[in-house]
Amino acid sequence: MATVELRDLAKSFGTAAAVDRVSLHVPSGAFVTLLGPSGCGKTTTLRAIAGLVEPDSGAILLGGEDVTRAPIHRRDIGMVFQSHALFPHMTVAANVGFGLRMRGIGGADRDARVREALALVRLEAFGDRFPAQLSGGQQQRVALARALVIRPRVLLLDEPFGALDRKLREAMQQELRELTRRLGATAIFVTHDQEEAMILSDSVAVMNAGRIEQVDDPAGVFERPRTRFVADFMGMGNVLAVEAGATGSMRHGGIELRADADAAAPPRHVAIRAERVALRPATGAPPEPNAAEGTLLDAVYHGSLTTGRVRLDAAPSTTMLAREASATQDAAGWRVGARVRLSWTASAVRMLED
Amino acid sequence: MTALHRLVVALVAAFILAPIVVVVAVSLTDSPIPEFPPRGLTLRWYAHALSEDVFTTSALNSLWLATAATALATPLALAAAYGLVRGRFRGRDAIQTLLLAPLVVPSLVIGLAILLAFSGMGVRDVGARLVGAHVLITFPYMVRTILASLARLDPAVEEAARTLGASALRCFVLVTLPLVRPGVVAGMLFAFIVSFDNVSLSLFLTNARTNTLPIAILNYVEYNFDPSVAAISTMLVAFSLGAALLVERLVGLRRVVGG
Amino acid sequence: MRRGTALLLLAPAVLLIAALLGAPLAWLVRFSVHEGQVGVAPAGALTLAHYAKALGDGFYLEVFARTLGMALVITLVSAVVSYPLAHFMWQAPRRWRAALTILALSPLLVSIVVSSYGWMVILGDQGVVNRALLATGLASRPVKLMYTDLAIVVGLVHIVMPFMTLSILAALERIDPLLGEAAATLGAPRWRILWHVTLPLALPGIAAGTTIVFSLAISSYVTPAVLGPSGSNFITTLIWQQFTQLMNWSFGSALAALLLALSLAVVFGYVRLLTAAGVFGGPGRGAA
Repeated sequence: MATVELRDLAKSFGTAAAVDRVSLHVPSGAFVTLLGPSGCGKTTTLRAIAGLVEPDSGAILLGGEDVTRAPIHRRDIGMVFQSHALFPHMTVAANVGFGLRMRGIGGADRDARVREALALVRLEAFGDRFPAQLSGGQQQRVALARALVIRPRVLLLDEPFGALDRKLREAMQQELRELTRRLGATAIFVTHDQEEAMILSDSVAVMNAGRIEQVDDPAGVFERPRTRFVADFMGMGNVLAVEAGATGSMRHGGIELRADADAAAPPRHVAIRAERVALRPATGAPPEPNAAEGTLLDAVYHGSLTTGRVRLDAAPSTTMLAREASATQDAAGWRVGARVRLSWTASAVRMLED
Repeated sequence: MTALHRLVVALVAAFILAPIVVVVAVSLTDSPIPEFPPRGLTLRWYAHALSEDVFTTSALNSLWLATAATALATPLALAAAYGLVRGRFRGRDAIQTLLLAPLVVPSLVIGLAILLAFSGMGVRDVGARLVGAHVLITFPYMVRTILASLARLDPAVEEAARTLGASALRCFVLVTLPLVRPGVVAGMLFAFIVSFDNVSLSLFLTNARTNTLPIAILNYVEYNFDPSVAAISTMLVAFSLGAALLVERLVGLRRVVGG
Repeated sequence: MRRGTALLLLAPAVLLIAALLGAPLAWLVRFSVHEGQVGVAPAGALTLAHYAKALGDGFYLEVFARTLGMALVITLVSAVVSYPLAHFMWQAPRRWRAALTILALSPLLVSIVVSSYGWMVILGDQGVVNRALLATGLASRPVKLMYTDLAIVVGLVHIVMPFMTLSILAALERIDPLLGEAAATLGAPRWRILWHVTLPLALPGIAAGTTIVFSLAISSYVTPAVLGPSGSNFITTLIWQQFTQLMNWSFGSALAALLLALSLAVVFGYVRLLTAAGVFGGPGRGAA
């Protein structure tokens, strides 16, 4: 498996920039996810690596070799599509063997490698079937075997589990994770599902409007978003506009916030993950940093967690979210309309770049 | 669905089928003039029709003509449809309109224009101008059917083949073509019927010595009214409807005819 | 696919159209603006006299007017006759679909010489209709049906019906089936659903069908020639006469060019007009 390097990759469709000077380094054997909402350029980036889209400028290197202008069929990549894209007129074995056939590998060698690839995805017995005779999950596993059997330099996956139901999706994620680790495959995965990105990846590149906003390991993008977009997309819950206050602190309305890190420039926004905000009955105690009192507007139960929405006294146009384990809720404090006190630690306050 | 609606539909169906049913019935009548309902049953008009040189010679001409037109139109239409669907360039819609243009220009005008132009160029060969004209009018139907088949093909299937190492040509031969084959075959069948049944173009381009079957029938009824015309017409109907049934099975007639 | 590859694939087809349609039409137009001909080539001075004659002479104008009038009648009748069938096909169970499609398209699938012959047998003086009329005493002697305008209308409506039916059906199939149910839950009886929901939404299909049928009707030759009264009563039969009997190729070409312009104007102009009027509901819809 090889490294993948993107240098200032750009592609416009008409006047709209789909990919806007994207640079990314994927080490050999790493599993990297391009994460973002639809239209953020993640699929275009992936298709450019595959050669299915010709970039306007920039370079794509596979294992150090510049393949920016190389024809699709000479790139040695394995690609898995959301629609599976199995050849409906060929058997499962012929599908898996297609890439080997294109490489002039035939006979017993091909058969052996097809069998091996099908074993990898636990479909040894299905070689003679046609794609239409398989379930959605089985079809996706055939697609995976077909992409892997050619021992590609990089495995590209374009929302491969988007069409599967939740349970099957989770099983497939597990399977894909194990398989790529075992094979040491370099993989680039595209999804709009942040949970999926975190489960699978060694590192996550969050994309927005054609650019990569942040590349980090899953915990990094989840806990330490650098920009407002990433904070928002990773579901921080609270993104507050702030002004510089006295002695290194910040103010949002009448609320004083303190962080445990120093920003180079005073930030204009901070993010506080809702799970890290504690919600207790109001005490009427005088204002202090990293705390605020208000009224509980509603409490939404979603299984193991419950989210409370609170209108703050010191900033009436702001509602803050606090999320706690349902099991630990204090029933008295969570009554709608109740007076409550929110508090958080300095380490929970994340200063954002704009 | 109300009873009134059903009654109306039954009447409309009767109207649609009337001339065809009458022709088939008349072909079996045992009287020397076309009578409906037929008097007695006989197959002798079929024997008579098949012994008439005007019918057999022209039927062979029609067969040859439809085969040639279809064979020439198919590769052209296949290439053009593929270029239209997969190519991205300005003026695509204009080119598509141009390729379907033979359907909106009145047949009479096409026939006359070809007749004048071929004579002007000194091409007197009836076969050449017939084949030219029939390629022209069968071609749009083929383009339309193949376009419809290609539109239903998931482009990711072709992309998968390319990423797996297939060149554009191998991808077309091994993946695209097998998947659109029903559409291509249906288009060919329909083109064959269109050519075989055509009257309005052939009328201008045939002459007394070289005829197509429909023109021979048209000429025959001008002077004869015996049921052998009904017999040959019935065979023509059976042939066309059989092919149409196949097209319906393969891709659905509506995709070919449009609308 | 690269632009060059696509254009290369399209080139033979474009050449075919250019050689077999474009060039011959240009040649025909060339004929129409020359005084006359020598042998098979246009000759004499350049002139618009043939067009002036076609558009200025009362006789020819009358033929044009008659053709347009007949086409209008045929279009209206075919819309009225096709709608119930299209509606039926739309609502019929799926397993009837193939049979109904073949039925609806059969006029198109059967050679026009066959159906014309059929109409001769039905409408002739000793035909099916007249024998029924005589047998029931509704008429004392055969009514003249063949070689009349009525026969042209019957024959042409039959031939153009598939296009009208398919256009309407295509529009009906775009209707969200929930709309009818919604109207029903709001208390609309069946006929009011038809009038207020289905028909307005089928309008783009009826409009598209009207376009196709009208342009087919004005340019049809075989039916008027075979079933209609003798003499030049359609533009097409008039053109035929100029070419085969009067050997006036230049004037015939001018008439043919006018017919072409008229039918293209109908196809493209009418669609544009209806689109502007909002009949086609939005981009990408309409013209079949």
